[in-house]
Amino acid sequence: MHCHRNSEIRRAAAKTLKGFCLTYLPHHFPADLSDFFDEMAGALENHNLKRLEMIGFRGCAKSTMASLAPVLWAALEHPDKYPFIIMLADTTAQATINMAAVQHELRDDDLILRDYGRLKYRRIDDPQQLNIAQGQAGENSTEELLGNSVAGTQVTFITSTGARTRIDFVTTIDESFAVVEAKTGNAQLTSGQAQLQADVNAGNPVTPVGQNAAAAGFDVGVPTLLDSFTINRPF
Amino acid sequence: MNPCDAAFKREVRLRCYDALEAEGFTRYRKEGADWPFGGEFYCWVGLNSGLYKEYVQINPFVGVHAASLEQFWISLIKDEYPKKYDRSHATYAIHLGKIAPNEEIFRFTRETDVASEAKRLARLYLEVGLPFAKSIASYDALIPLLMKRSESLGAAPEKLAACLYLAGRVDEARFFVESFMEKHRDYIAKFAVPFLALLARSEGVV
Repeated sequence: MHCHRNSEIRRAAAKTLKGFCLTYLPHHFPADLSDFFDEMAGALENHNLKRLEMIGFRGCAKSTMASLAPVLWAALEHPDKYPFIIMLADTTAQATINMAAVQHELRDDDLILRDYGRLKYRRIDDPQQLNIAQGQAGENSTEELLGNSVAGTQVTFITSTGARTRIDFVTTIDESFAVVEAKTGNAQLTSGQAQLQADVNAGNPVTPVGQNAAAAGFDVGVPTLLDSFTINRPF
Repeated sequence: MNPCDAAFKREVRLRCYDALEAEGFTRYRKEGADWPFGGEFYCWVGLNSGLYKEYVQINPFVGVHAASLEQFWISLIKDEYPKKYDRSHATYAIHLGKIAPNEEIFRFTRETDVASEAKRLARLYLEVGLPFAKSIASYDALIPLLMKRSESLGAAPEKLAACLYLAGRVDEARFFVESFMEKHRDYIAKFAVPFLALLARSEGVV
């Protein structure tokens, strides 16, 4: 009863972005809040906001407020308004760090897990674009981290019609399997991939086969349900 | 520079298995390594590989292989499924990135020092993968994990039933299989029918 009441109080506080920050993310704000913190939080929680320029001194929590807190707040408090969130950063390294910080809170923050449960979300990265950016950055680039990489690659499935098709990426979200197929330009799914997509959408099991499927932990030859099929079109 | 090809991918994979072997893992086949914990459980290693023009990426998976459990459920469906027991199949596995999120990915270009990167991979398995595998190397630890995965099918329901049975939780095994039959009869019947018959026989009902 006591815990339930505490949860209600926390959720009530989280109705504002500032309240959310102070309740669930105090570890990201170790110093005293800046004089303009309220103004910054107030501007960021405006759902009609199209673009915001923030200029502040080093360490005033600009980055935390811009890249972490509103993302979590929108995803947890306003999922209906924000069914998807696109996070932007000017370098691959920064994007990786930002995404890792968001995922860390969603997966590991005890209070968030207690009050909101485990959020089912799908992370869509753009490996091809990341590769290009990484190549351009050359030797100075920061490597991608294992925890941010898509899990298995190049896994073959047999569809309900018997078509054999290979997909680019497979990942697990809360113990469910999801596939992501990358397509550039006007490239379309192959007939096998289209059948796989139809099976996934219809809830039909498909069968992983081959060494690469086994190496990604699939039990090859056994029908398996995939939770989602996403086409990623980076450009 | 030559684009990466299947031969380069194979070379990378072999060097990774060499490195695992050097760290104490058992090389039970040319492209296969694990770590026997003694008895039923092994630390399972899966090197999912992606071949691209510019690089080969090794996506490391880790988990456990429970030999008796695998043999048990496969023995029950052998007349229905063309499936054999295979030491290289995981009973339960996850991507290593889930437990080592801050480790850099394993991407091998033609210019990569393959031996050095393979050693980094093997050390990660030793220091992070092995303790994780050990922590779930029991029937009691596997049951909740397989339970979460059972709705995705993929042999998780069969393994869960086998796990409950081998853990001595026979009533729970029966209840799970009977309940699962109601939702996924087409999928589970091949296993459920002989499994429930086995339970009945062992209780002297039939």
